This record gives sequence, C-alpha cells and structure tokens, in this order.
Amino acid sequence: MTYLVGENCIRCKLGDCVEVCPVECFHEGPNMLVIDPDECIDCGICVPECPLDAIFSEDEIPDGQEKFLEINKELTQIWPLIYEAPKRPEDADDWREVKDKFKYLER
Amino acid sequence: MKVAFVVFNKGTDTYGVRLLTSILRKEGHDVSLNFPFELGDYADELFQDVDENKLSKLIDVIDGADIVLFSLLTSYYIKQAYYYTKAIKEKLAIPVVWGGSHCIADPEGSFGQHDIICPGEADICLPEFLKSYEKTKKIPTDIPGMWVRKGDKEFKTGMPEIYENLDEVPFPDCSYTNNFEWDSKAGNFIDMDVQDANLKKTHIYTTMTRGCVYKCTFCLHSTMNFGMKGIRRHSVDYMMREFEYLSEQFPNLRNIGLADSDLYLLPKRFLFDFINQYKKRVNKPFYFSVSPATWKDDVSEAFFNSGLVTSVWIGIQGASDKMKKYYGRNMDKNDKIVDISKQLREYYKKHGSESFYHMIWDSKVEEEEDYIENVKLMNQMRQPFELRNHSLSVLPGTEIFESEVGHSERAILKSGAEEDILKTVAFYTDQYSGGDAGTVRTELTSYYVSLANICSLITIPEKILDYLFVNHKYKLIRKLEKTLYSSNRRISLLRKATYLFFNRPDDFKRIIEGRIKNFKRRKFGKNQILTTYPDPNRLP
Repeated sequence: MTYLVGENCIRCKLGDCVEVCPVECFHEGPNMLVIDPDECIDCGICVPECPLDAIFSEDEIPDGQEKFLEINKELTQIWPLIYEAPKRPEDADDWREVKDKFKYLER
Repeated sequence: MKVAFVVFNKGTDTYGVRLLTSILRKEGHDVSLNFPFELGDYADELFQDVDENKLSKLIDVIDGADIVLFSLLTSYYIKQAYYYTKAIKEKLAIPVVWGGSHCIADPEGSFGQHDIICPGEADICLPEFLKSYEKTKKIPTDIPGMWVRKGDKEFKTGMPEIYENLDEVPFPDCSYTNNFEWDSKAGNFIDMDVQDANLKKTHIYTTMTRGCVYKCTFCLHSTMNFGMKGIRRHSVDYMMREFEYLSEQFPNLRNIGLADSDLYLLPKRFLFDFINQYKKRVNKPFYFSVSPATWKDDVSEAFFNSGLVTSVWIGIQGASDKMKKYYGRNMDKNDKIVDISKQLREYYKKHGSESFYHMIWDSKVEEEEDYIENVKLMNQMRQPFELRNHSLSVLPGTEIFESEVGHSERAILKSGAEEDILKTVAFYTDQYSGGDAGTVRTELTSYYVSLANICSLITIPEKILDYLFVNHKYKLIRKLEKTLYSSNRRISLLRKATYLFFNRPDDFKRIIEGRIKNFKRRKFGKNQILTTYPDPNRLP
C-alpha cells in the first residue's frame, strides 16, 4: 500500500508534506507534487500535514480520483525528487477552494 | 488522596509512572511508588509463584492508600498482577486500577481479567477519575478512558482524551521521594535514599514522541489505539529543558536513552535543530533507535559527528522478502542495511559509537530458506557488529497472533475466570523467551542463530557458508561461536576499560570493583542466544 497526492494539490503545492516525510519520497512538478509509491513506507505522517487534504491512502481514494494512483507512479519517473518544501506559487491561496483542477495539471 | 502505584518493571526507568506521578502530585495527591522486584535479573521471578511474604509486606507498605494503580508495562506481568490485585482487594478492600501497555494493547483481554482498567493514555482521564472518586467516594463510571465493571454491568467508556500538544505534559517526576523498593536482604520494602539514588543514577530513558506510525505485525504498538494517527512530539525546547532537569537531578548522568521507536521518523529540520541545541545545552552521551527505511546519511553525519552517540539500535527483524512482508517491514531493504552497516563501522572507528542490530527468529512460518537469508545478510554487512537475536513472542491483538497461535486461545485470554487466568498465565509464560539473552525454540534455529552471530564478527567465505547450509555442523558452529563470542567480549571489555582508565578513572575503579565483587563464570545453556549486549551504564 502507498499514499498518493490527489487533485487538491494542483496549483497549490504547499509542500508541508515534504518537510515531514521520513523517507523523502516526494517529487515536484510544475504545479503539483507526487509520491513515489516504491519509496513510500506507508507511515501516513504526511496526511495530517496537508492543509488541503490532498494526500490519501491507496485504499481510501476519493471517488473520481482513482487516476491519481497512476499519475503518481508515472510522474515520479519524470519529476525531480525534492528534499525540502518547494517555493509556494504566489497565487496558491486563490486555488485552495477551486474544484475540478485536474485540467490545470502541467506535466 | 493517597495513591499507591505498584510497578513491576525495575526501579528507576519507569517513564509512564513517573509522568503520572508528576501529574497527580501537581493535583495535590499523596503518591507513593512501590517496586516489588529488585533491580537486576528479575524476569524469571515474574513467572514464579507469588512470594507471599513479599506480598504481605507490600500490603503493609500501601496500607492507608485510598486506591492502588498497577502499571503493566508488558503482558508478562499478568501473573503477579492478578494475584497481587486479589490479595490487595481482600486485605485492604480498596479499588485497584490496571493501566499500561498490557491494557492499551489488549483492552478487551485486560478488561476480562480485571474490573477497572485504563486502555489508553492516562494523563487526563486518571486525574479526573481520582477527582470524582475523592468527591463522591464512589467509583465513577462515566469517565472516558476508564473502563469499569460493577457486578454484571460493564461501563466501557471508549478511549481517553489525550494531549495533542505534548508540551502541555509536565516532566516525569524523578525526585524518588516516597519510592519503596523491595530489598531481599532486609526482607522488606525500603524507602529509597533520595540523595543516594540520585547520585547512583547514571543512565535514564526518556522519549520525544508518542505513538508509532509503523504497522509491524508482531508489535503491540500496531494494536494500540492512541486516539489519533501519526506520532506526536515534544518541541526541541521542551526536550532540552527536560534534559537539563534530568542533568540537574542526576549529577552523574552520563548516558541518555531516547526510547522512541524510530527517531528518524521526525522531520529533518527538527532533527538538525535537536542535535544543534543538544550539543549546546546538554552535551551528554546518548543513544537512540532508527529503522533502515528512514536512515538518512546527512542526519546521521550530524548526529554521529557530534561525538555524543554511544550506540544506535536498528531493527532488521528478518532478511528474506517473505519474513519482511510477514512482519510488515518490507520497506527495510537489505542493500540499504548493508550500506548503513558500512557507515556505522566508520562512526564506530571515529567516535566509538556502537551499533546493535535486532533480529527475530522462531516464527512458525519461518523456514530454513529464511534463516539462510538472515545469515547471508549478516555475512554481507560490515563486521564486527553487535547482533541481538530474539525469539518471537506473540501477544494478543497483534496481527500475527492468529497465524502463530490460533484463534481458540483468544477466548481464554479474555476470560477472568480463575481456571482461565491460570491458562492465561501459562500462555504468557510460554511466550516469554527471555529476550536477547533467552533461548530459541529449536536446535535448527539455534544453529542458524549461531551462524548469524559468527557472521556478525567475521566474514565467512560464500562456499563455506553454502556447505554449512547443507551440512549442519551443530557442535562445530556452536564451539566456534562461543570462542568468538568470548574473545569479542574480552576485546570489547578491554577497549572500554582502557577508555575509562585514561578518561574516567573514578568510573574505572568503581566498575572494576563491581566486576570483582560480582564475578561469576558464564555457562551457556542449550539453544541459549549468545549476545554481546553491553549494559548501557557501563558504556563509555
């Protein structure tokens, strides 16, 4: 089992999760973070850290976000591994409450 | 209110009880701590028949208390706890509350065995319970986290409220006032000499976190309901103040144990801040545990190069993919373990920091191939290192309970009937293997443990290992193991003695005198695990 980053992260990318991950398994894309499922140790420490509730367990994926399991797997291979919280997008707060953000995902 | 703790684990390192003592004393209660077992090798005594003389003396000591609180750090205290409770209730007619890991890990089982339990963290619910009891003189049945049975009625009040911010909790009470320890020479409980106890104390455990995020299938932690996910931690400043308090309390303190299950689960920023502050404000030797999965090179560099780490404890548990999965430890990769062992060897050479690796043997599902994988991994790691081998003990509530023990035992372990209690005691007695100084269950396991021990000290050429996997040379391997074990022990002691002689001559004199006084030739039993386990008190 693994944890994965879902839709709420898109265009927000706050990065509190990166700070607490004990195994450094977050990768950074242009406007979202993903978790490397092969490195994740299933500890769940990152879940309560995310103010956007963007991280969930593989067996508790919210309806409609099933595709993010594959997206996390796929983009981990492309995006660089990060060790510290990334710089927050300046307009991150404007996107917190926005729904259906999948269309804004930049690869 | 007069509150008497009865604590089965040995004297001075009782973190939870001392924390509760601190909280209860702040609330104005008159608290005493009573230790029926002396320091030293006390484990066997836990399973022997209750010492009636000692029990009667304990009742004399706690006579006058309004309530008795039992701290059951593990389920192995069940025999003594059951009979002590029975006697206290009969003779003193006061309520007895059970708490501690046994109740937290297996609330249903312990509630079957006893009528008032606390199945969670007691920091908030216990003071509330005592306050209500003091006011009404009746056992309250509505305090969340305090389960009570009155006649046929059961009041299971759920889990207690907990401190989400651990910095709100006071430091554990290490004053040693009103502490009574059993003294076999005196044949009575002795009020501890506070000044003497403080001066003697050279080593103490504390913890920065509560909870554990892992789901190790053999571990009680995975069964515990802490009321929230993840781990909670103290702030760095709180810990520094606690260390300062401990250093002031114990002028001879020279080794601090951090009992957290995996220190490196904490955020990097916290760990760097911790070690920087620790060097500045505390600067005393310490040791800690990590898991291979969370090992971080840069954090380790900062920690070990502080020159203050006396040892690090690392759980490997099993080397084969099958056993890693079975124990819920598939995140610990063997390649990384080998790499860590190389780094730790360098830190040992540079700073004398020792590394202890823990292995579990004796599972029912473990086969010879799994043992072989264990030995191969030990042989690949950078020797020499300290290997601590444990025979698997299975406890109710853990995920592997059913596959190891079977379903039928569970009902007995939840029952409070006298005949079932005896069976429960027999179950725990059977499960208790004596830890890393105990024995493994079969000769085959013993053979591979011996091989692993040898590989922790020297590298065996692969061809010879392959031969030994096929041809079990029991006597030869055991003899080689004992020889290497004894030589390593002598070298290790000599190294420590040399260090102490030149750096801390007073400690050197004290330890040598103690060794001469308590010298006894070691005898190794059949299937006994040999371990170079050093007493943390004696570490440089």
